[in-house]
Amino acid sequence: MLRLTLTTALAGLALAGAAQAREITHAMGTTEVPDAPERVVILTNEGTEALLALGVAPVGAVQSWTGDPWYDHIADRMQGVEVVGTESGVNLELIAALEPDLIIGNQQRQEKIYDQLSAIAPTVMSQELRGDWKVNFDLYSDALGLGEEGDAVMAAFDQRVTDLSEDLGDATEEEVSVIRFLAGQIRIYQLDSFSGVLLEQLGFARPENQAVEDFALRVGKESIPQMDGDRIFHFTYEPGDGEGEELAQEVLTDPLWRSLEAVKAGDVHAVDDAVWNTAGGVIAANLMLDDIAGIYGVAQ
Amino acid sequence: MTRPALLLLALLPLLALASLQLGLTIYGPGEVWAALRGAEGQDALIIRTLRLPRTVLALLVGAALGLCGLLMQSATRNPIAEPGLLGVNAGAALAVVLGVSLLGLDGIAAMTLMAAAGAVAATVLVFGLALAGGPNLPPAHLLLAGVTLSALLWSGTQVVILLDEAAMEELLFWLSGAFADRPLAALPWALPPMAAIAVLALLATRRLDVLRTDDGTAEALGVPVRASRLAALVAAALLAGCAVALAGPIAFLGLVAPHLAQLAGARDHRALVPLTMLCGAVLALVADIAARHLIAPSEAPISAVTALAGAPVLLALLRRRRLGTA
Amino acid sequence: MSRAAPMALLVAALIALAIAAVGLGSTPIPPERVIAALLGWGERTDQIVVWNLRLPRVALAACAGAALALSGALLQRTTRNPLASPSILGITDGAALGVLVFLFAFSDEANLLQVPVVWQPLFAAGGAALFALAVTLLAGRDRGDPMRLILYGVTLAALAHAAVVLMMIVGPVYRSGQALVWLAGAVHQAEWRDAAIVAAALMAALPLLVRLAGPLDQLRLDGASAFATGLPVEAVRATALVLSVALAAAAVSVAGGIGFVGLVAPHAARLLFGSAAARELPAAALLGAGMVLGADLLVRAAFQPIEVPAGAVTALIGAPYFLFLLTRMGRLNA
Repeated sequence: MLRLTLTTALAGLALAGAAQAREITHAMGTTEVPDAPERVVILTNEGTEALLALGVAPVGAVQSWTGDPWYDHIADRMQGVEVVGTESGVNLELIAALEPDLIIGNQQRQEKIYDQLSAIAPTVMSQELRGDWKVNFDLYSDALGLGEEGDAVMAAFDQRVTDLSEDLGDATEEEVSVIRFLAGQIRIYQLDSFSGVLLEQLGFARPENQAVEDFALRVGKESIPQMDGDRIFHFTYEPGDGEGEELAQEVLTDPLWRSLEAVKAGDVHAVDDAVWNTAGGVIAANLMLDDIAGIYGVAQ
Repeated sequence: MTRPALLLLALLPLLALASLQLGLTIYGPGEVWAALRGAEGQDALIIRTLRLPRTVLALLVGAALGLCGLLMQSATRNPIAEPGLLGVNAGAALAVVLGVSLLGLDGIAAMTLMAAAGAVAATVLVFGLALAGGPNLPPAHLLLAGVTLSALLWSGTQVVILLDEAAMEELLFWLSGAFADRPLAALPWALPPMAAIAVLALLATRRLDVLRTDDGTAEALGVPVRASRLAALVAAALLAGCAVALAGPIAFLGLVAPHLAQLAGARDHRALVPLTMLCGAVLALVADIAARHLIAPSEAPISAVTALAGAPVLLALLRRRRLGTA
Repeated sequence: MSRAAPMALLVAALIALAIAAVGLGSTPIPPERVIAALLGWGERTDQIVVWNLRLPRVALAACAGAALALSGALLQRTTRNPLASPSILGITDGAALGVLVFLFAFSDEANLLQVPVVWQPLFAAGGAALFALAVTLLAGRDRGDPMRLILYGVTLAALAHAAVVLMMIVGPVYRSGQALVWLAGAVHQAEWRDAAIVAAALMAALPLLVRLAGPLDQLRLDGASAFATGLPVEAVRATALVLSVALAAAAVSVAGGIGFVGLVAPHAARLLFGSAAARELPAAALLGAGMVLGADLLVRAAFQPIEVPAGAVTALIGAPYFLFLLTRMGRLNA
């Protein structure tokens, strides 16, 4: 009973604080958010990128999967941002202490703590956490009250994709293969992944086993022949103890890997794991476009 | 030799061949033969550089774990002693994880040494307790102590790895063994002790027979019980440590192999020791082949396969005998 | 009489620990502000931290610890084995399997959970109960031999664990991370509903526990003498067993696989307060609550800003004691 009255009181308080509120419909329902949130806490890696791209510096963010605590490519823009735990281990108390006026999270990661987050501040949650980050980006920019700015960022990005796709021309007929090394396993990435979505938008063809609307195949070395393509991009998830890098080296020097057509032709590229996969947001997507333009020697 | 024993012996080369043939791509005997003779091409590479090592590894580790289980069972007169259930594997895994993350150790030699040290330490702990409780500690008490110690050591491993959430994937890796894609660099370090212990076990079959009776009889027959038992357990621990260093923790193989050998007609250790190693190798090969197909194109961890197959065997053992009665 | 004082001390210590747990955390709040927040005065942030975050967390830690400890104490009595604990009966691994089945059965192709995550505890409890039932049925043939109960428990737990590992590998990557955190056992996501589930189980068990205290003491005699006193041995044992499973299932379903509390707390209770059930059971509950509270406090202090599951360190608290116990048992047996 006490709790009920308290929550009501708190809700009243929150309403009074944000006079001009807007309603945002999201994965967990409809939430009233302040018109121009100033203290935003963001609980996903891809969301952090969305905020930065919109020129919003969060007061708190979950730490990057790799990097200490942020990915290299965003580290300079994240100075002074408080770490509030990890995507799957959010520190609620730190968030409360930051006194945010908007919290952005993701249902897959934080459904369990939605109620607690909502008690702290209006909370908006995206639904999926897979390849197509654009859906989430729209929601985030709306929640921030920056719908127009969001559209502009997105339009600029789409324009880049179209331009690059045109510049690439026939090169996109190449079947590109995307491989990732992690401690103890190799993954063959498919269409419903961060790199997969972007490569598809650029119009790249994919090897048969990768042109599938799925996330990734988890395989061993015996599947190396299935990793072939006209060109191979590979990246390594290295949490810091060398296990991922060790496996990558082992595979890259394996005679079976060397027997792949793409390897024999020298069309193999080591790319950044954060940019091509793990960060998963708009900044990484732009950097990935840079990478591809560079690799194919297309000026942008 | 009994008929079942001969059958097992005939089964081994057949399974080894099957292990070279089966997998994501299935090859005919001709392709296998050509690959072994040094043919070129991807198929030959798969057979020669991937399937051959994992087959050899399965044979060796299976035999080692089988012998390890037999030595433990004989030395403690406990039919359910086994490195996986008694926490020996867990000790080896924790030692490796600690060595890597705290001491910053690197390299196969150091890892193998750590695994062996961890296995011996866990063995000393579990059996020290069992032997302190007198020679007739009920089997179930030993198992219980082992399982609890095992849980303790695993949670130690978990703490070390969980501290770095990014490394979570690796937890699965250390919780479950595999024969596929393991670096064979540990083999030169692990093979000599394993071979030496196997030879010693073959030489000491009479002692092992006597150990299985009771202390009084053994002493009367002039066998130093404590020393022999200690030697057998240390040997078992070293075998388990080598097996973990080679293939990661694998449970239930060491439990099932000796019982299978007995089912095949082995009565005394002169037959039990070789037959148990044979059974271990056969079981490991079967488990490895199953692991490739169970959740293809991914590989299932061997220890999940051995547990799925071995747990029912333990259940059957429990139902057949009155093991737990104290 | 002489034991009343230590018991009061224990209660006082637990209360002190709980107060510390409410006051300490990622953002320490001075006592006067904690009190103000508790009374509903202080700042909004303080109130949220205290009421919505810390109190549910503390309540869940205490309730889960108490439930696990009671479960262990009952189990050790009915099996007459000092090494018995809820995880050994296959309860923890069964619950883990339940959680994974839930996560995978209700996820669509995009990994979206099709039902609210609040139903997860139900599946965990279901898995726990199912495995405990299977173990009991298997051992049913061997009446009066509690040791076999444990042997079957160990075996079925190994089976469940193998299935869990396979499912984690086959299933989507996001889910296995979630499952691993659950397996370790955590209270940092606690809300009032979670604490209420375990508290309700404890409340429901209380009257039964009070009635069982006497018969449980008689159970310590050997079977024949217990029977001679007119005690319905089988009925007492079955009730205690069901109670034990229910308590553990409730705790595990919301707090995950917190280990070693059910094993160690009853021992500590016996050591401090003797083995009369009327004293051992409450003492075990208090100690269990303290263990989980302490473990949670420890992870909060040691690993911030990351939230590490408290279950990962209950082993560190329980381990030294367990080793001491093992050597002592060895000496007793010799």
